[in-house]
This record gives sequence, C-alpha cells and structure tokens, in this order.
Amino acid sequence: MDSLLTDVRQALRALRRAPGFALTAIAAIGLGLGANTAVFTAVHAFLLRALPFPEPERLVFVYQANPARGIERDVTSIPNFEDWRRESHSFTAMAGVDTRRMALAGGREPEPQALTVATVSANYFDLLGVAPALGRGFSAGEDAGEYPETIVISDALWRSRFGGDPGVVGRSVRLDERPATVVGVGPPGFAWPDGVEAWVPLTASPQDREQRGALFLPVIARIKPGVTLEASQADMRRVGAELARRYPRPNEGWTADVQPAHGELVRDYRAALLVLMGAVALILLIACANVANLLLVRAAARARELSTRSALGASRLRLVRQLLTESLVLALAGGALGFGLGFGGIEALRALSPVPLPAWVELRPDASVLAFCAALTVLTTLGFGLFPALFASRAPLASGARIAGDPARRAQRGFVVAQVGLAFALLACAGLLLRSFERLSATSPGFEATGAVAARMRLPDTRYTRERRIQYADEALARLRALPGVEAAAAVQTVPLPASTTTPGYAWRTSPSPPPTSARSPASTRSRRATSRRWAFRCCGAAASTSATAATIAWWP
Amino acid sequence: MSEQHALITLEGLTKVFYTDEVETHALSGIHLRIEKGEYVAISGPSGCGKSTLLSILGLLDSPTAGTYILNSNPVQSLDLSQRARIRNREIGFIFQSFNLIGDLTVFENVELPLTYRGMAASERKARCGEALEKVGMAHRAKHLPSQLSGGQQQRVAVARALVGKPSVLLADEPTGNLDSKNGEAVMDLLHELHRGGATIVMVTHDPRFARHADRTIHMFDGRVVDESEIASLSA
Ligand SMILES: Nc1ncnc2c1ncn2[C@@H]1O[C@H](COP(=O)(O)OP(=O)(O)O)[C@@H](O)[C@H]1O
Ligand SMILES: [Mg+2]
Repeated sequence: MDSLLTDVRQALRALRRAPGFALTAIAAIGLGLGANTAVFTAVHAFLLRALPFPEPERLVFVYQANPARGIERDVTSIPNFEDWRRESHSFTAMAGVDTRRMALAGGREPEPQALTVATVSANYFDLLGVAPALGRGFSAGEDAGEYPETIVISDALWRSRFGGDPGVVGRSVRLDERPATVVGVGPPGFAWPDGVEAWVPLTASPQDREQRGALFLPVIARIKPGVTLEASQADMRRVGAELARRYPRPNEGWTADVQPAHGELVRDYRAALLVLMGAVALILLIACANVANLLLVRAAARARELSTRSALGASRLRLVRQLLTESLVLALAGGALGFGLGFGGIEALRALSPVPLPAWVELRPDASVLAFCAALTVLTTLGFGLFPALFASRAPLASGARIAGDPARRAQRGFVVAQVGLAFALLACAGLLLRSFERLSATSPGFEATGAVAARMRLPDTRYTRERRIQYADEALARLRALPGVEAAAAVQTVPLPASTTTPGYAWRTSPSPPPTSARSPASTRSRRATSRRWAFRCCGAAASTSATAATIAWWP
Repeated sequence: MSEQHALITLEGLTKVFYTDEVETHALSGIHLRIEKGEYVAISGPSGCGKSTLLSILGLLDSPTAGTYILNSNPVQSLDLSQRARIRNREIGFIFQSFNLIGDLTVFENVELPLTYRGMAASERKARCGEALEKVGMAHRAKHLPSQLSGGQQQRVAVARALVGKPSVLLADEPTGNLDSKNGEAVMDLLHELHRGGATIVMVTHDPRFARHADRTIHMFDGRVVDESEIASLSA
C-alpha cells in the first residue's frame, strides 16, 4: 500500500515533468472515453434499462400476424381484441392503445388546442401499474360508450393549459366539441405511448365494434406471473387459430403473436446504437494506439532510469507496476475528462437525433454509466499501457543503454500501422453509413416528392357531417389552388408513407373516390411560409418519415 | 574471513554476446575468488570485458557458461525475481555516470533500494539519514540530483549503494565522469568504507586509484592475465 502510494506520487511527478506528453495522452484518452461514455449512456438508456413501470419484463405487445403474407406484426380490430382478451389465459390484463388527434377546449386558453391523445382500454393505467398523480384513472365500463366522457391529462398539459390548478379534477372541458370531465392528471414525465398529452377511454361506435376487419388497434398486455413468454405465444396462437376458424372472412390466414414490449420499442434503435458503439470503440482503440506509441518513445528515453531501478532490486513485476501506475494516472485523468465530455456528448446526441427521443428514454449518466466508464478506464490503461510497460521492463539491464535499438522502433512502427488501419476501418464504416443514407434519400418514394407539401386536418364529426366535410374539402382545395405558387392540390384519406401503421389516420375523409395523390407545388420554403399565414403550420417529427418535404398542418376553424 | 567462506567464487566463467551473426567472447574462462572484506580493483584496456564481468557479479547479466557462487549460493540458475531480490539485498551498485533518478530527490534516490525491499517508512528514514551522513550529503536530502555537482551526485550514489547494507559494493569506473579532485574524494570515501568492513569490487583503468585496493586483477581480451597482491598500505 505504502509502495503503491509511492508509485502514484512518483508517477504524478514524472508526468508533471513531461506536461506535453501528459496532456496529449490525457486528451486522446479523454476523447476516446468521452465518446464511449456518451454512446454507452444511450445504449444503456435504450437497450439495457428496463421500461419505467413495475415488473416491466412482463409487459408485452400482442400483434396480429399473417405468416403467409410475411406480416409479422400488425394491429388488430376491436372485435378481435375483445375475443383475445376473453379467450386467452396468459395475461393478467390486456388493453387496446390507439393514438389520435383531438381538439380540446376549456381550461385557461380561449382557443381550442390540438392534442395527441391516447384512446385506451379502461384498465390501461392498472395494467401499466401507473397511478395518476391527481384524481383517478378510468373505471371499468368507461370505455363502453361511443364517445369519451372522461379524460386524464398529462402533467405537462396540466401545467401548460390548466396552470397546474390542483382543482382541475372534476373540471368540464370539451373534447372534439363534446363535453368531458377531467378525472385525473398523469404522474410527471409519464407520456406513454410516446408523445401523448392526454388519455381518454377507448370508445367506439356500435358499427366499429362490429368491424372485425378494421385493423387499427395496437394492443399491450401483462403476462401473468409464472407464465413464460413462449407459453403466452402458444396461448395466443391458439386463440388466433380459433378466431380464424370462427371468422374466416377477415381472419383467414391471420394468427396472433406476443413480443416483449421493451424489445419492440427499441427494435429500430438497436442496430444504429450498436454501429455507433462499434465506431466509438474504434476511436478508443486508435487513441490507445496513439498513447502506446508515445509511451514507447518515452520508455526508450527512460531506459537508463529503468535499468538503474532494476539494478537496485526492482523486479520486472515491480517495474511493470510502476509503469502501469503512470498509465493509470493518465487514464484516470482521461477518464474524468471523458466522463465530462460524455455529459456534453449526450447533449450533442440529443441535438443530433433527427426525431425527438421517446419520453421513456432517460439519457442521463447514472451509476452504471459511471461504472462502465471506470471499467473502460482500467481496460484502456491496459490497452495502451501494458505493452509499452512489458516492453520497457524486459531485461532492461543486460544490454543497458542498448535497449532503445531496433525492437522499440519496430514496435512503434507496429502501433503506427495499427492506428492507420483502425482509422481506415473507421472511415470505411462512416463511408458505408453515409452511402446507405444517401441511397435511402435517393430512393424514390414512388411519386414526385419535390415541392410536395402535405397537410392533415381533423374536422370534428360533431359539427361536420359527411356532406359538410366534402363541401369543406372542395372549398379548401379551391382556395389552395388559387394561391400563387401552388401548382396542384388534392385531398386524400391517407397521406403516402405515413410514419407507421400504428399512427392513426386522422387525415380527413372526403370525396368517395380519392383523386390521385398530387398535392404538389414548386413552392420554395418562402412561398410555403406565405401559405402558412392562412394555414397554421406545424412540423410534426413523427410525420416526417420520408425525405420529402412533408409537413403536417393543423388547422382549426 | 576464512578461505572456505569466500564471498564470491567464479569458475570457468564465460560470456558470449551474439549480435547479428557476430559472436563476441567478452569473457573466456574466468576463475576468481573474492573474500569478505576485500577491496579488489579490476583493470585492463577498454573492451577487455571489465564491465561485463561486473554485470555478471552484480546479477545484471548471466554467464554463458561457468559457475558463480555468491555467499555459498550458486546464483547462475536463479530466476529473474530471485535475482532481483539478491541484487536488492546483497549488492550495491555505483555507476560511472551516477545514474541517479532525476525525478526523485536525493533522499528518495537513497531510499529506493529499501522501498523495493518493502521496509517500513520509519526504518527507511533512519537508514537513509545514516547513509547520507556517512557520505556527507545529509544537508542535501531534499535536493534534486540536477541541483548537485558531479562529485556530490556520486556521493549520493554511494550512499544509495550502501544504504541496504549489501555484501558487496560494485563500482564501474566510479571516477570516470569526475575531475581528479572529486575523483580523489570519492576514492577516499570508498577507502573509508573498506576500512569500515565493506567488500568492494571496483573497475578502473587508472593505476593511481587501483593502489587503494588490496589487490588488482588485470584483464586482457576477456581473460585474467596476472594477479598481483598489493600490500595493503594506508594511503
Ligand atoms: N550487450 C552486449 N551485446 C554485445 N556485445 C557486448 C555487449 N556488452 C559488451 N559487449 C562487448 O563485449 C566486449 C567487452 O565489453 P565491456 O565488458 O563493456 O568492456 P570494458 O568494460 O572492459 O570496456 C566488448 O567487445 C563489447 O563490445
Ligand atoms: Mg566498461
């Protein structure tokens, strides 16, 4: 212990006497460890940390699947969902969770507000194990009607629209022009499915409840304790087969499948994160090779010191230990720098992310990130320090000053070659990534996307009958076509290339036979901005799934 | 100091260096006995193998053939860590170019062999103080080597060599980098240590310094050519 302290003290002194070397090495290690810390924080947040619910490993998604048509995951219909719920045995609870846009009026603001709302089965909050911070969740039967009469608002909406009023529970508001009562406020930070601002019961018209072929409903469930995932999958396959037999008309060829919720949510991120992890690992390796090279140069210059120490009775192990202590001091300084840079790097990742991160992903370095950083620091120490230490300490005496001859130079050349090789590997990876990105951007979506602008709007059916909606659309199109810079305008039920199948079509319904999609204008951003004077313009990240200049426009009368 | 208990016995010691197809016979069949308390000078022309012999005596290098018995202990077959241990406890080195470690103070330089021995700090401190006192450098304990003159540095090196109370001090041209005045002073110091009971083996090619020794071993081309006893005279 005493001699370890001596080693540390001597290492600090040696490094202080070589500040150029020390700073270069610390900067290189710091950058390498910083990049790794930042990316690991993301990997940890997405892939390793469980969902923020009680017993999250039992949460699953239940899908419709059609193997013959190559469909692994699809949403379901209300009748299928209800049969699933009734006839399966593996789940403590199952809930439908759809999202849609709704207009909320009431609260402090005079203007109605477009909200992303989750329409959920009444057992939703119980299933997740989430208790509202104020008021209650939904009671059984509240999802039985045709229109939602109760609403649970998110903490964020409570603060922004209701000024954080503790008396909000029991307040009357208007949802899509119908009266509803605020029954609860979600806990702070809770927004699940991602991005929702409120929850209402999953209500439906009697006709919709009969439409077995109308697939729109995502389903989550909680597996019973003691039931394996495989057992639940077998259970749902059985139920799916039974429904296909009973209702061959829409269900022929369809079965049902169960997948862990966490895995499903991170599916799209996994590959990207692992590629990033590989890239930053390469960066760290390059940094290690750099520092190892510097250490070798230093070792050659210190050959006499090491010989002397050896003559005075330092064993090889002792010399290696001393040299590694120096490396560890360097790495610890680099690690501290890296952890700091990692902090900043996380913010950079957040800023670089093309879509807003899901709310359940908490990008913050915690104890496990710190542990990772510490472990990586030790590994890094060995990575850059071990070879030079072994090299410098090998029989330093026998040949005295002759040590710094060819072998050292050969080893240095080896490290340079390794650095160049690793740098090339990194460049090649980056190049491949860029290339696939370029391909993706260049892929034609099947229509001429340049200059096309998409708008989505929702006309509450309480005020807009089918005829009035068609009338509205015709007039809106006429006015649009009259705008300078607009080449053509058309209405369509579903915008091409929607973000995902689970994003509900809240596009407006219009003419019985939709015209070909060609909402096209050569308009530049400038003229689009002009248009936005009359049309409230909202860019919605979720809708921008193509490289086309797609935008969602919400417009309220 | 009986005949049976020679401190160092070399028999048929041979050292061959192999470098890029060139074989250098640095030592060829050396026989040598050195008694406890003896002061032996090794002299001979440059390249005759003096430093190589000293390196082998100091377990810095191993012989190609032959036996080396140190303190009744055949040491040519020891492993690396055992050799490091013997260097630390039995041998004190004094180099031509002092070889003090520039990052360490005078005190820390002297302390180093004791640190490697795992000795407690308080005992280290006492021993270092004593050793520095002996060489007259106690007042410079906190200095860095670069702040000392060559003569002072070599005195510190002597203190470092004797602090561990080794069986033998090995000095390779200890005055080679010193002017004659400082050289004399270091020689006087070694002489004094010898009178205090130390065993000393010193390489020198300066006959003026060899006269302090009990005997001088003359080497030529890797062999001992003549061994003449020189009467021990007080200088
Ligand atoms: N590590 C070594 N590798 C190769 N040759 C060596 C080595 N050390 C010494 N020699 C050679 O051995 C011979 C004796 O060298 P050395 O013992 O240093 O002589 P001295 O100290 O008497 O001047 C010389 O020819 C020298 O070149
Ligand atoms: Mg020599």
